[in-house]
Amino acid sequence: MAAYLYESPNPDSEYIDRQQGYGTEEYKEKLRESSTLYIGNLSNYTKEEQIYELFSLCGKVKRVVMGLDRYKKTPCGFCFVEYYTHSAAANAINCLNSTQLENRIIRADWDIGFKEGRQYGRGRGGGQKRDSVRNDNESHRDDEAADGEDVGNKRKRRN
Amino acid sequence: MAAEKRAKTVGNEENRYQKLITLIGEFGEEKIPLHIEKLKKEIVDSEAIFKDFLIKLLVECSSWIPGKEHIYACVVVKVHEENPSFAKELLDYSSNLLKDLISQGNLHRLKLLLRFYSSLVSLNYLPKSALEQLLLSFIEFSASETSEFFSILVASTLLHYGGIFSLNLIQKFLEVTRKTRDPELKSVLKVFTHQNEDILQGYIKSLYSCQELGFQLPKVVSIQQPIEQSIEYSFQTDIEVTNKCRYFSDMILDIFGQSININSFILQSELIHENLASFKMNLELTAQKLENFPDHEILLNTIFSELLSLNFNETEPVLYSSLMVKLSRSPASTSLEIKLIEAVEKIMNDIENINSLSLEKLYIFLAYYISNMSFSWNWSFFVEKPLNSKQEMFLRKLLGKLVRLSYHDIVKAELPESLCVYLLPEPEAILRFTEVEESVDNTDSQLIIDRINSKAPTQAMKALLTSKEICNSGDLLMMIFCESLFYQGSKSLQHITIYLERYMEILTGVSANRLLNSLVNVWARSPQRIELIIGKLIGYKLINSEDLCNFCLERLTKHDSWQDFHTLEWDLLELAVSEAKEQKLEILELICQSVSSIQNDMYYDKIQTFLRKFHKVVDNSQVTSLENSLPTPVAKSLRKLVELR
Repeated sequence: MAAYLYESPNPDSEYIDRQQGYGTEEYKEKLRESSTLYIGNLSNYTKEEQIYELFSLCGKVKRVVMGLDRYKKTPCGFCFVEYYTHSAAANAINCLNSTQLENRIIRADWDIGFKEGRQYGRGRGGGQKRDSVRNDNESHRDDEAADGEDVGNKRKRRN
Repeated sequence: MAAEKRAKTVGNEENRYQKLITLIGEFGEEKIPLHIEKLKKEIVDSEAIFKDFLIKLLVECSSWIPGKEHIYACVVVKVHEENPSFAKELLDYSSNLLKDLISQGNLHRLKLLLRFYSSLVSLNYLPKSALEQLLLSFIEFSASETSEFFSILVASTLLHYGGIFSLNLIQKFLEVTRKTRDPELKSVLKVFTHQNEDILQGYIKSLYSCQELGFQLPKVVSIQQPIEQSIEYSFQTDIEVTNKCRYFSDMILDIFGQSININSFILQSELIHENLASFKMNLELTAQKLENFPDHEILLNTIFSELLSLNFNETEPVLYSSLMVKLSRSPASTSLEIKLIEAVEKIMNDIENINSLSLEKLYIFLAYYISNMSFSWNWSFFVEKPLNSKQEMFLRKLLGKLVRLSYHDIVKAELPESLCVYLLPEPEAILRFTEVEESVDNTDSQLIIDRINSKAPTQAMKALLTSKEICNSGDLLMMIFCESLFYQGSKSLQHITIYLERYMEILTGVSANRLLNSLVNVWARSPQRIELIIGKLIGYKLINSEDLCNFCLERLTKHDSWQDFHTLEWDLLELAVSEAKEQKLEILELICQSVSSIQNDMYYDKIQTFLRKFHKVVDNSQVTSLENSLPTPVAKSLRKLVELR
């Protein structure tokens, strides 16, 4: 595809999750082979089956891991989507990044792969890191989802 | 340290050249001559260090970026004036690429590369005889090959640059392509039953009309004067044609029912197709390239011709829908959205004549688009007049998909009230034993649920199931256990996953049929949950694709609902084929054999749609085994589909 011509052949920087303990090159190598995506800016109401439905449009999804608040164990606005193939994940980045889901523009980015423990938020309050530093940290996020309960039920009660 | 610094400098310079070369021509027509001059100077000055990089980049851009071949040709000619060897090496490099592209069967890039050569001919850099010789060899291939690969390649080159070639060459080509096409082949490509014009015919009509009215002058001549003396060059014509050089032109789509001006349609539509082919792996860029396209009808006709085409690719609906969402965020989006609504209404009006597979792609496309517009859509077509059965089914499928992407109440809130009847009931799990079946003692179910809630391990659950506390036994008990488990796991997919893993030892002893029946009983109101949980059951090897296939076929027989092709069972049969790894063909055979007794148009249509999705798993020799269980028209069409690949 010609799109590569519009990108820099020698990129200066790329986001690297240092907590995974890989060197820059090793990390980038893992990203090149990865079939996992990090999905951010989800609503706390978003259900796992919505994620399956949306991301299956781009290829067969192997599993979805919903991100949870470290303390409350409630959804906190992110998830990992693992595909069977790298090309399906690339399709999803192309088609579904910036898509609207539950009135939010979601963010899809490459991830090196899910490991147990990564489903928990790393922010100070237990949620996503970016929530704990954002000024507009939506207060409603804290009480959006109840532990273990279908977020749909909780949402209906709030309405 | 010094080496690292040097590498970084080289990297920065390469980045800069890449931007200069790729983006040239994208800052307004009036700046093109100045930018060509600047680029020439950069190339001449840095050629000693960056020669290989620059040659590769120029050739890549010429053969990848539509509509800019004349600019790159001007750059080459300018550089030639100061450094002939650079330009000659570039030509040699591109000639090797030409061979590679033929062996890969890359029609899209070949078209662009031939236009680049034509531009070089119009600047008198490349001898006309050399390119005509190459085109003549392609015309010979088009006469001997059954595929239209070389016909389209030559037709496209002649349409863009016909004015520079001899009339003899054009006439020779038109004579060769005069033969009529295989009608059987044409029929398997039709999105609408009444479509009768394909892209190759469009090219040929345009060429005849250009012959009469005269070809347009190549753009390149307005930027750069031709040079006096062309170089000596000839292309290698001992080209080996591989079986990858296959192409059958799709049908021309005219959704708006206007009488198309074929010349302008073919040229504009070709540009859109080429932008899609070059950039669709970066939709932001594709949208940028297409957002100022003036004719929204041609834009939609072209995008829809790719979306609705019968070459099934499961990711196409979301790809084109996502592109449409991006285009709808551009400044000219209002009129585009009005045209999109009109296009959908036109298709709905003509729904009886449209292929089922195309309709399926359309509702997925629309569902994704509407969900990105906060579920707001102009529903007037569906509200204002009574719907026929096909329109009604389309609406049900579309609304079903919308609910899957969101919540029932959100979709309902945005729908006109009269359409709410077409929504499925709100998805909800049902536990029959508590209320419905009085014959079954529901205390067993309650005991099982209590154990699940208290996180009882497998052994404790096993002990309960064999204890005196439990009233039922055998298959009935297993049914109660499975349905209680699915019901309790209805809170979320994570819950059911945990329960399946926790009680795996018990579940492995349960028959696949029992598991599937229990699941369908609990989730009768949510096909989405059924499909997702079946995916998990297959993942845990509790059932396999054949089990699922048999389960569906048995239910279709039991309910005598073979001819209702919109049931859950048919959706699950598709799931069974797609989940099957090695046995896809066997599963397809099983389905075809089971339904072979039905002989009517609806069945032909359904099974044809089914096979169109999965024909890639069948090879030429395997078609014969499937043919035996298929009605003749379906078998013929399957064979054509396999040949088309």
